[in-house]
Amino acid sequence: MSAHARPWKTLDTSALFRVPKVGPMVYTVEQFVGLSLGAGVSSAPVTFKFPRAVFVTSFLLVPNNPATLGQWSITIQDELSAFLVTDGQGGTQSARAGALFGLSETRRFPLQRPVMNQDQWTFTVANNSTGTLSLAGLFLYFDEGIAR
Amino acid sequence: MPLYGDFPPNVVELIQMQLSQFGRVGATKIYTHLPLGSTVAASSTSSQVPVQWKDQGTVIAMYGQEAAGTAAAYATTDVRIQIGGSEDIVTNGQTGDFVPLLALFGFTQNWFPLWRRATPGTNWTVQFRNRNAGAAITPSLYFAFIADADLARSFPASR
Repeated sequence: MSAHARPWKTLDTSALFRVPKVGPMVYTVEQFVGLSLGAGVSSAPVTFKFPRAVFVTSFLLVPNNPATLGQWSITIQDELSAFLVTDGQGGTQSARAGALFGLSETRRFPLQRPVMNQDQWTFTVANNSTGTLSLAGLFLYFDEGIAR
Repeated sequence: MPLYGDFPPNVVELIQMQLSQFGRVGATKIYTHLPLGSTVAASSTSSQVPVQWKDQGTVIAMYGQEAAGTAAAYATTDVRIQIGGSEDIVTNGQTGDFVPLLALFGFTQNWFPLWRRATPGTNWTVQFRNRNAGAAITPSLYFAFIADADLARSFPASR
C-alpha cells in the first residue's frame, strides 16, 4: 500500500522529511578546478568544509580529458580523520579513479554519508601517468532533505 | 532458517527502503585488499592478498582497475576472490577460478553488484593473474561496503 493510500492518521511524517527537498545538488571542491599535476605528482591535501548539514550521495573526479581518468588516484579523509578507502589496517588509503568512476563512461560513485554543518573532508589526488594531466574538478553530490 | 539468511533484517529493510524512496543505495566505506607490494609480472600470478574487514557489514558492489586503464588490460587481467579461505565467488563448478576484469566490470560498466556479508576475522583473499605475455600489470580491487554501525547514522529518523 502506498503512502498516499494510507489513512492520513497513520502517515509516517518522518518519511516526508527523508524525501529530498531540493536535491540532488552539487558542491565543487574549488582547489581542484583546473588543477594541473606533473607526472607522478600528488596534490597538496585540500580540505572542504561543508557549509551545512547534508547527506552526501555520491562523488566524482573529472579530468579535463576523460580518457585519462584511469591515470588518477584519490584519497578522502572524513571528519573523524578516517579514510573512506581502507584496507582495514590503515595501510592503503587511495583508490584508482578509473575503478571508482569508470573508464569510458564517467559515473558518480554512490555513497551514503551524512555530514554535519562545518564537518571537513580532506582530499588528495595523484597523477599516476608519465605526463602532465589536469582536472576539471572534484564534485560532491548531496541531498538536503535526508540530512541528519 | 532466518527469513533473510545471514543478513540482519534491518540491513535488508534499509536497502529496500533506500531503493524504493531514492532509487539508489550507496556505500559508507570502500574496502580494498592489502597492497600487492609489486606489479604482477608478465604471464604470472600474484600471491593471495587478504581483505581484512575491520567492521561487520555488507558488501554491495565490487570495482576494479588495472593501472593502464585500457580495455586490453582489462581483458588480460584476471582476478580470483575467495571468502574465508574456502568459498570462491568465481568458480568453474569444481574449484575456484579466475575471471577477467573485463567480464566483471566491462569497459563501460565499472561495477559488479554483489550482496555478501563481511565479518572481522573472516578474511577474503584476492589473487590476480596476468595473461599478458609482454608487460607487467598493477591491478587493484575495491569493495563498496555498508558498515552495520553506519546504518543508524545514515537514517536516524527511521529508528
